[in-house]
Amino acid sequence: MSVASRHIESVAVLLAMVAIGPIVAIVSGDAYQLAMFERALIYAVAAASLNMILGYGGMVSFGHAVYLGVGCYVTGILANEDITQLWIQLPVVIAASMAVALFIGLIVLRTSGVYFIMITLALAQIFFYLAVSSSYFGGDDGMMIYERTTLARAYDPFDSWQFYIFCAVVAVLSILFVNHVIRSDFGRRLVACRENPKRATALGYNVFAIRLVSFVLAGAVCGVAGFLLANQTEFATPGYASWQRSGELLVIVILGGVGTRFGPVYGAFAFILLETVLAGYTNHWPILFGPFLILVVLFFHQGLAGFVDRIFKTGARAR
Amino acid sequence: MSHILKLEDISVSFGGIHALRDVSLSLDHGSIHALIGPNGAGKTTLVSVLSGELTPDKGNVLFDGKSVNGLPTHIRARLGLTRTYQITALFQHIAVWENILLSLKARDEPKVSFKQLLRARAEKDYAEELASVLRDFGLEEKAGTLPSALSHGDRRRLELAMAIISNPTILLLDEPLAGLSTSDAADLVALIRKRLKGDVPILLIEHDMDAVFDLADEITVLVDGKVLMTGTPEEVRSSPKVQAAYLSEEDDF
Repeated sequence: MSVASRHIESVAVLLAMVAIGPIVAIVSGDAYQLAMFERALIYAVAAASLNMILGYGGMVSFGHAVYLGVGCYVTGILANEDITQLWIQLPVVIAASMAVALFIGLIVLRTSGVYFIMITLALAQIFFYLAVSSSYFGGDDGMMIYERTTLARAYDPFDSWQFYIFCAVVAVLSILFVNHVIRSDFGRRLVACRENPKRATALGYNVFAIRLVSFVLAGAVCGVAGFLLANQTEFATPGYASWQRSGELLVIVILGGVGTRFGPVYGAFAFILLETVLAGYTNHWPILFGPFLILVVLFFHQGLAGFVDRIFKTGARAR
Repeated sequence: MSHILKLEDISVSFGGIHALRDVSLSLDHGSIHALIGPNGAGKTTLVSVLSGELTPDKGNVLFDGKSVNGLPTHIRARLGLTRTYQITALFQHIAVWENILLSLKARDEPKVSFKQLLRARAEKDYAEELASVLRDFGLEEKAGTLPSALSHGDRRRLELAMAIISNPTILLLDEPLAGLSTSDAADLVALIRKRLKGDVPILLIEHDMDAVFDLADEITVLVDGKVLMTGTPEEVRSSPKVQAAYLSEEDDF
């Protein structure tokens, strides 16, 4: 497939996913329905960034939600200091998540396998407890965020429709960025490091550097998801950086299809939808969700993306 | 002739086991130096020391007169110290042509750069070279298959191809013929002879004595981590010490 048609396909799939929210809102006549789809898009961004290092880099990070937390808190702190402009907030969020990812990456990338999983978890927990114990930022109770990000005078961030469009644009651009990195020359090197680090090293690639760059980029993108989350919930809580949240991100990636370009997006939508629907029946909805995940893993090669791929033969091809 | 590669008094021990004891060895420009010895003699350990995957307890590795002690593997690879593995190490789930492309890219641009992030996977620049490599190594028809689906002989050829096209200054071949059928082995020996002999200095580790005596300019016999002797193929073949230690065992294989 040519580069151009791949880009068109990317944009088409993402626009289709973005369109679901407004369609539901219009049909139901309830603009508040948009909030659910905003959440799905935000999770899709976070999961896409995790998928980049998990699916293409072979790094199973069990602490990826920490960047959601970082993005969220940085946005909240800035907003509560009356710094609400997008062009200040976003660069600061990206820089902060990159710094945290660099710190974590420099440590965890010296390990591999189970140790990698455990140390990403441990380091993420450090940041989690940092947030819990910071009484200035609300500690365990979290922190209210009073202002949403502003962009231009014409943009009203508290209007449901306008905010949805804002969310969708940032989310789509972030996911396109991740997909671009995966398809880039760098992405190929990253896959090589996943496939055989020994061989990659013997060819002259610096496996550590390649992994670190992808790790930091993934952190930055996930930080952007945190920035959106702060805006969407108008709240920052340590819970966003908890290991349960990291687990959810892993579940989304696995559900959608590890190492597929649109898997995280499908996974996030399926996850949010199921959560909403199942939680309507019982508080113990994970008891129903668990078996569903197992069935998907057992019967769909490459998760939901693999399933969609099979329906549209020419559609989202893996890798 | 000057030495392109020189090992001085290399010692490696794993716990109480002395894998290598004061091994010295040199490789001349354009020559093939074979390293032979019974199983467990420390041949692969020596290659790992050379490539930087193992740090010796003692000793120097001189590359073109300069010490490379302490340099990590990927930096040594960038200097042109290229190795193949006894057990083929390929990118298993990437197509054959992409394996080759990765080797070409490593040759031209091993470092991570910002450009690589912006640039889409540029295949066009390499299309011609890629096609010629596939042709030269008889992998044209297998270009799209995954290495995991290749025959053992094809995998060996691919591994050798990836090493050769990276323009090595020194090649370390760790049992390139292991597990190959007689005809595949003969093909590979012919390939080494045609593409490399006299051109690229090679340190060859091999159990196939026909291949060793056919290719090597110089042979070092390693037994129990120590150099038993170094000499021309004729000297080695006629040495009673070597026959006692090694060649007589050949019947056991």
